Amino acid sequence: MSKTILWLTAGMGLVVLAAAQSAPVLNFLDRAVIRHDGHQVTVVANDSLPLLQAIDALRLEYGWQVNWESAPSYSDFDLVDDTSPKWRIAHPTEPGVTRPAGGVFTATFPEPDTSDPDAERLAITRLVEKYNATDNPGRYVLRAEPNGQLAVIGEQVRGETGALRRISPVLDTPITLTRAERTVEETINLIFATLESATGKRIVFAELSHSLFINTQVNIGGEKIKARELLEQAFASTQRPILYDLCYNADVPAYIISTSLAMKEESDGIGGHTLVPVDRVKP
Amino acid sequence: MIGMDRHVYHLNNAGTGWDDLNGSPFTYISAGDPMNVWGVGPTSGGHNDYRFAENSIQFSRTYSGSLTCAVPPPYGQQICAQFNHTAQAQISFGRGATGAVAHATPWNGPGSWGATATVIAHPQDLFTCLLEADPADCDAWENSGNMHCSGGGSNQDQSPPHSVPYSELTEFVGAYDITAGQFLMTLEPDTNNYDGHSVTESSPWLGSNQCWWNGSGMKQYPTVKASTWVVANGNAGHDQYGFDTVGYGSGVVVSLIQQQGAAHGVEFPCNIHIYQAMNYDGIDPYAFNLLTQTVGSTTVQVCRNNDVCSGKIPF
Repeated sequence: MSKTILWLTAGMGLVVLAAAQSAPVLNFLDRAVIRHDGHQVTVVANDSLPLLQAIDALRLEYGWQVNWESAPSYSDFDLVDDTSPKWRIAHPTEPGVTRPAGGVFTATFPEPDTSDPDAERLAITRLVEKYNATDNPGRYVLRAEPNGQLAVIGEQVRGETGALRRISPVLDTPITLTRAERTVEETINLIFATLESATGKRIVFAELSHSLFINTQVNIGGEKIKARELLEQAFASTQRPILYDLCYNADVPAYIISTSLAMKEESDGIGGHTLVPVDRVKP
Repeated sequence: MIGMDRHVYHLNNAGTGWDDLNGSPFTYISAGDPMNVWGVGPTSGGHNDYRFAENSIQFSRTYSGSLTCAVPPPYGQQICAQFNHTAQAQISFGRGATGAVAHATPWNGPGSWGATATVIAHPQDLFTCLLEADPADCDAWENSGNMHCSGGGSNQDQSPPHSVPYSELTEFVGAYDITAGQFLMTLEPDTNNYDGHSVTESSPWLGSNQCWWNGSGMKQYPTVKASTWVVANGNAGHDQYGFDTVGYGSGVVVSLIQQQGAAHGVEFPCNIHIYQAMNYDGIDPYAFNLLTQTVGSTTVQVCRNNDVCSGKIPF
């Protein structure tokens, strides 16, 4: 029974899939497409979370360090059925699965002036404004954190009636963490465990590359500090440009957080591309 | 020319002054005029009797080596970043004096490289000489020795050159947090001492995640985090670094994949690939690795370079 996570199975069963929208026939893009046209930049995304896909492309294009927190969509207005037809045939009576109901999203904004330190914020602000004017799920806001980091955060979702309702971002939750020397990995896991206790919401740390977090020691803590602030302190202790994506899986239900190194995609000089961490990009 | 008795001078590169070869200062013989070396008397009892070192200074030595670079599929080509090999020749006169000439040879691997340095000296003069391949300014070598002249035009390497590794051996250590894997690496060749130096990972390319589905919250294109290890530190012995910890742990994400993946159309087993380049002391990569986690419907396996893997972990 070790592999069966009860909360996962139970959560799946709670999803009322019969009422979920049917998934339209979509050709999602593997990555958002960025086009430069004179002084304009156009981003074309097609994904269940198209704003995240657009931001992800801009991160690699410009080396921007923007964090992401999904609006935790849960209603039939924000989710669609994503059950594989092949799996459905083999499992005719079992609950299916959903995904966010996003699709195509296109935005145009002025070509960022790379000499302007505010260029990143201005461009992402325009992107978020454009997104919020579409029918895609969630409404977002761009926040500049005290440490200078930018985060695009979901603040509204559609409820059972289809009306937008404001939600409290889970990482806004104040938590108390005892100050102690720990690895960053231990600290992150403790932040999430504490956050789960405070909110009753499941947080899953989906980490593939652990070494940096295991090799780095950090001593942080405090009373009633926003979880986001503690998380960013832990990341900052690595002295590398770590960014995070906090997504929401309504079928579990759980928040899934993954991290990556902020990188810029550059030409390798032989027709391909290579990744360069933004703190190692030559000016 | 004005100089001190019993000192030797070389016309500097700009031709505007004289480098005194006695004592700590040194001169770039090849950058200036190797024939413009003068000794200041007495040569036979006379004062201020300048004497041209007519045979100048001469010595030559060539260094060479080779390197191969491997890149995991699907990037089949070999890519070695540029290495600079510098052979440095030094001369000295009098106690503690040194002079130097250096030639830097940029080289793009894979293949062979070579570098030659020449210092000209003459035993009948007051010069002594020595020669070494100086790695101090070279990506592939490091000068850790103190050089001095033994006289008579002989040359000595006071300490062997300290090379960068050209590969590493990987050993699976154990599972981490149930379903991730930990690896310990040994730098090669083992004839060198890398202890105390650093190894840093990077991702030259975006990885791939067959276990991902749209809206899953997992990384579709995973990369490493640029961790740095100090050789022979923590868990690692002589010439070793680690652990490198790879893969979804704790079983929760793996459970998510196993329980929801098929319904989203994920085929099992599914593979997660991460590309990893290893840099030694912040210089160009010496190894490219493919990190893999394979999630089956009842097992998980983690590999580094396909050939070093955990067993199939029942989960």
